Amino acid sequence: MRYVSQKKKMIEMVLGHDGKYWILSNDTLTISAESLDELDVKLESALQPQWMEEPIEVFMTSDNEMIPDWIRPYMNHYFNRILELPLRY
Amino acid sequence: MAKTQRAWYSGMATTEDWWAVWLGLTFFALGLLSMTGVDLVGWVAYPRMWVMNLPDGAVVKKISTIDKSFHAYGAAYKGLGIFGSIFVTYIVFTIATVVGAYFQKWEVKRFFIGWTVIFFLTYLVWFIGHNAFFAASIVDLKKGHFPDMVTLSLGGGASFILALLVGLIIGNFFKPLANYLSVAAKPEWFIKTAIVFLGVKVGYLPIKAVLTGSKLGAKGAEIGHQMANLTLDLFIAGAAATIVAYLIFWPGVYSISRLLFKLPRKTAAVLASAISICGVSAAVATGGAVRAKPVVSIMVSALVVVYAVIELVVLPGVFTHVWPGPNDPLVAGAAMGMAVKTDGADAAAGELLDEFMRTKIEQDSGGKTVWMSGVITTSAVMTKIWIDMFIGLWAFILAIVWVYKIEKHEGDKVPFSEVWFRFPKFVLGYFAAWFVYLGIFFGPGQAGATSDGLALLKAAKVGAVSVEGGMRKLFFMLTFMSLGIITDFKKLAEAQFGKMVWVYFVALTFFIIPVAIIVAYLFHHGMEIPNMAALAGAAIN
Repeated sequence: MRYVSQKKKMIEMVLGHDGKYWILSNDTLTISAESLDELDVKLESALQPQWMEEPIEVFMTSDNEMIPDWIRPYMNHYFNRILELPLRY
Repeated sequence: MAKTQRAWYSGMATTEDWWAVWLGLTFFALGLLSMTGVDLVGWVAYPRMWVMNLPDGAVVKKISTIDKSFHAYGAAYKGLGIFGSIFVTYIVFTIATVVGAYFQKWEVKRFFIGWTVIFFLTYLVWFIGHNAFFAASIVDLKKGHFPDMVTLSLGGGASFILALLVGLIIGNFFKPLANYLSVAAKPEWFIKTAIVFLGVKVGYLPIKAVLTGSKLGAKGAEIGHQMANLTLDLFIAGAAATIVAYLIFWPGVYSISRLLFKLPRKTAAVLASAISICGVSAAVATGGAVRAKPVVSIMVSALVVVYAVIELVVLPGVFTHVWPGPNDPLVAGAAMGMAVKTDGADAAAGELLDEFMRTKIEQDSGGKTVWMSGVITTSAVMTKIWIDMFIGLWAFILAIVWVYKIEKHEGDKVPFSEVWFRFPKFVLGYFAAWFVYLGIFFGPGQAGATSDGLALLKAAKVGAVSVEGGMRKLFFMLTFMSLGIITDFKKLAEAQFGKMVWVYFVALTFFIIPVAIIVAYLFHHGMEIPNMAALAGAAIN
């Protein structure tokens, strides 16, 4: 965990996709869901003890292995996102 | 272990995009050393047009005999002969590419074997494609006092077509071999490297013009300025492509997908980007921006690759012989850059167009009009590069719109670093090579206006020609061969693309290509390529 300028705690996680499920993981946590919205809700629930104290941010870096080998020469990046918890949508 | 992009320098040692920069700039830098009197790049083996035996009365001009079918590009390496120059070219590029393969964590042994097969197959095809039957024009025959003989008059384009054809035969009829070679068949890496070499070409164009016209004194320097201005004009006019791709093509194809074919919103967005902007890279970037499941981008990408090869085969001939034709070569080049959606297929199609157009104009004018090679390719690549550069920004804006306006996700942020992660890095190598040579031309070269400047430009030429001529063409050949090897048309029939195939066909044929030509006409009509035949003739007189 590290602090950013807004003084929010940030947790780094890697986001992948196995063909059916989005999978979000780091050293201590792995969750999966069919849609990103569902994944966000599960994440919010899993990290509740942490955001209960103060709002936090989760930096999701995409695992580019979800893009097949033959496509990566064209574009080697899917997407990164930062999600605030608790959810605001 | 997951492959992620988190820091600004992510992928510098491990991606093809960056390795095109390293490979391209390494040989660009070696080429620059010719200004110190050392030629470190002249060993590259380059083909000549050839016949088995010279007919009676014929002399060696552009067409020589089979025993001189290859030569080292630089005068310092003439002693290498055919096999020596090919061997040295193989050794140097094998070391360079294997190092790249190692850092990119490919199977090095398999890459080495595959590369070796592709390299020698490419040289074999290059040799066959330069037989006078395929390549020679009537003008070439006349210059060499050859008797009338049947030729296909395809110029250097013959080799490209043959390479693609051989690759496609392997890719579609010898699939186990194609699968094995696929580790080394890297059209995107080869073409991006070739585009960095093309940067040398663009920077070298004014140098070549001024050296060709050097006997004209001040007029020669003026012609160099004209050529430099033409490349800058192409660069500026190429910006039009960005407006067209993002603001005309994209909404048009998105509307066709949604209204005519009733595709889901995310699929329509990904498809619109792929067809309108820059193919596979746009499909992946947009898929990420709208957070679609990766399968959407993957399916669209497969479609793009097959269509791009079809365009590569069809468009250069159509643009040369039907519309816009040799009266508007730079309109045709720029339109190619807007119509063909992968860097590999676009640059390859531009190069093929360059060969076809130059051969046709030389033939039609009876040798009185000769265009410098590479200018039409440059117009095709310039428009494409403009389009490529903005994909990161476009995907970023699209992501913002998608997250906040369509999905209404408050508290879900899109990092601005996405723009950099999606930026095509090989473009940096292209611009570096171009601007350094342009700097040499206007700086110490003094645009050839003084004898000292002229001497420096002559020294710069020694290194530049081997890179922009020999190496660039070799990497184009490798691209054609590799594109063929990895293209399996059966996949198009097998995959469940459904409506997407028809969206692509309708949008490309009835919207993208005609609009691309019209817009290219608006921005490029009137731009003329200097006639080198007139220039050389004037210098002699």
